[in-house]
Amino acid sequence: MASAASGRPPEAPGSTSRAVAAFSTESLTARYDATGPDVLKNVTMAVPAGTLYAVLGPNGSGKSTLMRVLMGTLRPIHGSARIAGRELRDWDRRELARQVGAVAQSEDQPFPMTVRELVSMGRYPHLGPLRPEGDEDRAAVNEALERCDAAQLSSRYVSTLSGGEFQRIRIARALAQKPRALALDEPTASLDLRHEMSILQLLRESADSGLTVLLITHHLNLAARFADQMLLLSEGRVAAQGSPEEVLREGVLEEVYGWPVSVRPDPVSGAPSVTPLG
Amino acid sequence: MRRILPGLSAALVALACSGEAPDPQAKATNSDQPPDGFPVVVVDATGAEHRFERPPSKIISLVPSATETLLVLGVGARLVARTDFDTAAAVVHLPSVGGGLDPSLEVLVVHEPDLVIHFLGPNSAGTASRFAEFGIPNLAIRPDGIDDVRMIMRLLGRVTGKVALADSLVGTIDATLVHVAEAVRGLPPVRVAFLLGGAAPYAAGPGSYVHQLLTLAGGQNVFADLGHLYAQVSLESLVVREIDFLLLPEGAEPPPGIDRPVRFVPESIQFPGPRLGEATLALAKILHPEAFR
Amino acid sequence: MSRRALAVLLLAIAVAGLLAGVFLGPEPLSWSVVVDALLGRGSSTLHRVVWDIRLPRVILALLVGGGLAMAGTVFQALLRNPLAEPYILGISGGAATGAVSVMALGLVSLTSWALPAASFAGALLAILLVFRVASAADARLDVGVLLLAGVVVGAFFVAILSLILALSDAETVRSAVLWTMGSLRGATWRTVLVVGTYTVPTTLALLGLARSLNLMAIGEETASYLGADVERVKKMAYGVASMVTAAGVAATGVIGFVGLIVPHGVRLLIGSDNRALLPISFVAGGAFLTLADLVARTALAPAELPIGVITALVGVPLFLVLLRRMVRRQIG
Repeated sequence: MASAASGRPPEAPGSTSRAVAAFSTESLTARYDATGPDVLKNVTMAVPAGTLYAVLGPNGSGKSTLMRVLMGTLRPIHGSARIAGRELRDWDRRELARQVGAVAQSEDQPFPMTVRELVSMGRYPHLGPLRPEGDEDRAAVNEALERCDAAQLSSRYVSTLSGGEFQRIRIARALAQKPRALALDEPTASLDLRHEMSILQLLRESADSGLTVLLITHHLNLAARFADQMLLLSEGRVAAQGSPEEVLREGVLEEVYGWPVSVRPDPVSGAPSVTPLG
Repeated sequence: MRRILPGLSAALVALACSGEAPDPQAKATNSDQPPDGFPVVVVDATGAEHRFERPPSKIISLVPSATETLLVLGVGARLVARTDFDTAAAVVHLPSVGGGLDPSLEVLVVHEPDLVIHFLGPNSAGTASRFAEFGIPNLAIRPDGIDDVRMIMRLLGRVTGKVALADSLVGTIDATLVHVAEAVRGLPPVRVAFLLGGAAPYAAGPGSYVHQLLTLAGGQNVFADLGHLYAQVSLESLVVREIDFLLLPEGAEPPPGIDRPVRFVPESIQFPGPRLGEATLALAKILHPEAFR
Repeated sequence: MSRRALAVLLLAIAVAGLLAGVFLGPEPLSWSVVVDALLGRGSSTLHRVVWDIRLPRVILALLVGGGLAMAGTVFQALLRNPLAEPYILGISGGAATGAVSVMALGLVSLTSWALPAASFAGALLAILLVFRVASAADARLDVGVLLLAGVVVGAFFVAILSLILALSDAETVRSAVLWTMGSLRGATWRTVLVVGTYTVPTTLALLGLARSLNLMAIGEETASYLGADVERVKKMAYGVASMVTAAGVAATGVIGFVGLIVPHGVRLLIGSDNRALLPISFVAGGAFLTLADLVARTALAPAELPIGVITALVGVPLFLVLLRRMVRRQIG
């Protein structure tokens, strides 16, 4: 279970090393096309339960692919991927959706739909195709909307929401699944400072309340500030993983991103802060 | 002779249309005895046999040329409905059942016909099965050529109990055709194309009724090499081919930019029915006026 | 408008349409005559007009209209495309090619089953081709590839169709044109039975998939993250919706606009939840086609108008009114 790059055992704060990792892979290799190139190469990683875990890396480094493998929508050709210690192929889709609430990078909105309708979809893994919604489901939806500060939006049409509001209700939908973990692919891309911060705070609070959060992001500095652990991917391989201090090092980042950087502790938060040079 | 034949045909028609009273066979339909010659068994264009115990008295013809034949056979009074395409004075007062190929089944059934004459076409099995379902006696006909016209006249003559009249009608037509053939014999064929008109003209091909009439009337269809009944032909071929006349139905537009002599012909040359003889004669007079001077 | 109120209203319209279709027709019959005929009294001819011509026709309209509207709803959800309709994957081209082939070969005059059987076979062939082509390109049946395959296969069939028509005589062309404009004139109890056996179980199957289809509409990746078995839902829903469409086309020819406009109209009124949308679309489509057919066979009686003309002439303005209302609500 030791991580390839840092050699440091993944340990969640406040838990012991015998805790089963929420997400983990071992010697994982994956590709989209049977004859195509490997998009992930020999990736071994583990996300300790109850932590906020950031996955970083340049465009095309395999971050989204890692999420697809971990969510079972892409089968690895080699190695294994596990959720809560169980191989992905052994998960039923609805069971998996009760375990992990995932927010993909984008989704379609071809037809008019209200916020409540969209968030209620989070109850699908509990209801299946036929069972009608009950009090418990409505309560879960309300609670998720409250937590994402979106209760006042519930009767609005999704098409009328701002980018930040839309991302908040997508997270609310994932929370309505009542999962043990969240996986999010760049949920703050194209959001302004305030909305980005409010979402990261929401994720941090979720992790503090016991959820495991797997967050794919481009924002090195925000990840450094909010994440417990991080993984840096480069061309499908693990370049580094561990605490922000272990991953965000000048030499590693310069090699991975191909750009000179300086890393200094942030004067306010104390987390490592990356400044591109030149 | 030349003047007599069409006159005779017209007289026959006039006699036949005047009503059924002079016809002795009609009286027999009132008694319980089957009328002379009945029951009859006929075979229609589908090859199916149909048995008639007595002449039908409520007829609906969905084929205008057959309607014309029925009028000529003097049984117009037995028609209970017509199609939108039957506009002759003798039938125009009858209620319509809609189109001939797509009549309203409901309207047709309400007239309780004891014979429906319908067209054997690309989509007629559905129609025929509906008639069978409703127990309506029906005959499918397919008037494609001159032989079909004769056959359909005799068929309708047998079914309506007008065998003698049908035979004499066919005889009159044949006599007219012989007369035309004699008149044009030995004359050089006139090279013609029969077009339906318009900028993208359809020409009559070798399988068409018009083609047969043209040939009988001393014409030569320059589109005898078309593979079908009617097909679109290029304007180029109209320019290049050796053509004496373009023949068009009355009122049709000649194709634009084609500098060929045009003759208009009566519409009856397109409809295989009792006017076959007249139509051929009229066509021959257009193609070979010298032969009829 | 609440869903329940709309459902009740549409059901009432459907029932009214059904009654109107039985009591009104090209042949004016008084209501007491029709009631007598329904109860088996009166002349046997009128009994047959009501029982064997009008009733199967309105029921077939209900089934085919409902089936098309529901299939359209499903295709719109699966393809995540508001322009999707039941014929988008080449079904109409395949069915028309099958139908016109047997017309041109003269096989139609052999049996009344030749035409529906051939158009059904043509529709199935088109569906199989589209799915083979799409799954060869991408085993996960990518929406874009599927749409493209549908358009291309449809175009190919239309080319074959045009070739057959170019080589056919005028009667075949006329029959083909009439067929492609759609008509319910062929309705018999037998067609009702056949179309019903396709439409009723498939309707129930699609209702069972409604919640999964809700997820599909926002994207396959998200749908599977939410717990839907995306591949299974796709295969079942495409298959079932295609069968309903093929059965309808075989019975009545290609009737346009019902499968495009009705789902949108209902969606504009009650929203996009397929659990309500599918059943209400079925009822609305059935009611719409029953009324359109009533117009088609009475407006110019005894001649019949092609029903596709009515569905477009009535459906499009109605739809535009709804659309304007909806755009106002979503913006304002």
